[in-house]
Amino acid sequence: MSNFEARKLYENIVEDVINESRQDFENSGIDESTLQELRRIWCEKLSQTQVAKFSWDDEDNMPSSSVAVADDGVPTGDSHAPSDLGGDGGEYALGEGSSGIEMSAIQNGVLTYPTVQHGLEAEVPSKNENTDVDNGTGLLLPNIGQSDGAFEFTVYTDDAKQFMKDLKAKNNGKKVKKIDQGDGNFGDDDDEDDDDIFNDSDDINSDLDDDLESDKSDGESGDQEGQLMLCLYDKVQRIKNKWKSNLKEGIANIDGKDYVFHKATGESEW
Amino acid sequence: MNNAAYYELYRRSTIGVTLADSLDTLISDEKIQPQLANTILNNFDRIISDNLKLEANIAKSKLSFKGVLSTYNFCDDVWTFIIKNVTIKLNDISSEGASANNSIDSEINVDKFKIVACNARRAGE
Repeated sequence: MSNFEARKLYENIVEDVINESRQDFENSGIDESTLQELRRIWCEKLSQTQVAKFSWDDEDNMPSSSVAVADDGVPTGDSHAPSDLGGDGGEYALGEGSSGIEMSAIQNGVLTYPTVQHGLEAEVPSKNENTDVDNGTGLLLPNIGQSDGAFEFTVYTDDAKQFMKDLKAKNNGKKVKKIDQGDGNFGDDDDEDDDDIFNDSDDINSDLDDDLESDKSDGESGDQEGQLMLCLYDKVQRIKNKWKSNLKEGIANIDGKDYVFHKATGESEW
Repeated sequence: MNNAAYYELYRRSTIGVTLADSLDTLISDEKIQPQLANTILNNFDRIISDNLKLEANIAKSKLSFKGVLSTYNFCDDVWTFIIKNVTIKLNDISSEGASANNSIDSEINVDKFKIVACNARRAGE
């Protein structure tokens, strides 16, 4: 089932809310980077719910193991590696100039290490060279879509101590890699605080909020079981035990996917 | 909220919950004040309501469902239904962006389906 409309709606809403909140941020003396951070977190959380496929997911899912977060806070799929991992045995040359290590060939997405034949050589890059090397490790590693186990390779070097030192030095300053995790909680989120927003929003004291509080337990508390539809009603009719409803402008979460609709009609028997 | 022109209903949708979560994160990081977060949520109420209107040209699909009404509740102008053994049909008009292999009509069966509906005519009107 296509839920393209939900995707489009959500993307529009993210854009509109961010753009139209800019003034409010300014009025509160909050700078643009925080606004962009809000957008980044929001998009991230939306992607995690997997209620729809978003355009920013496409960027994130580039065949790159390191999804870089740009300094301005906008998530960018920063694809360092050429994407032809599935190529039929093309030489996967990673050494750019003199600074890298030449890795072996990749066949059908499987990285093989003909170390003996090739005699992998690593030049220990000098500090200066490191600055323009990807990954900040001084090594140009292939971006493999590997999710199981550790990525192992062997490096032959004349000066192992210095090499390890360089690697460590670079690793310390490295950002934590973003992991596309689909199962379980996303580690660095304050998931325990999820309920707080409902408590916080009590300040508004609207009737809807009371409703929201009491229904939360069986409603949206988890998208996995909450088949919830939010909409407006034009007309609700009952004849004996038959109910008919004319609904409109709604969002429905069905089986973990979100759908939007302009009109909905329902029939049910009590 | 003195100006209750828009429902807060949609804050319970995925996009609303994720926005609230994100704002919460920023609040606990002390990057924004709760007051600002409320303003943003109010913006969200307005924007999502406007975007769902037919004029916005996004939500054009039609949905219909049939099932056994288990619970109904009408309180403060809000209808809440819990419907069981529901067959939901979705007629997706927006074929443009969807890839060609997606069927236009689709049908889903769910055990339990909850509907929360606010009055289309706002109380103030």
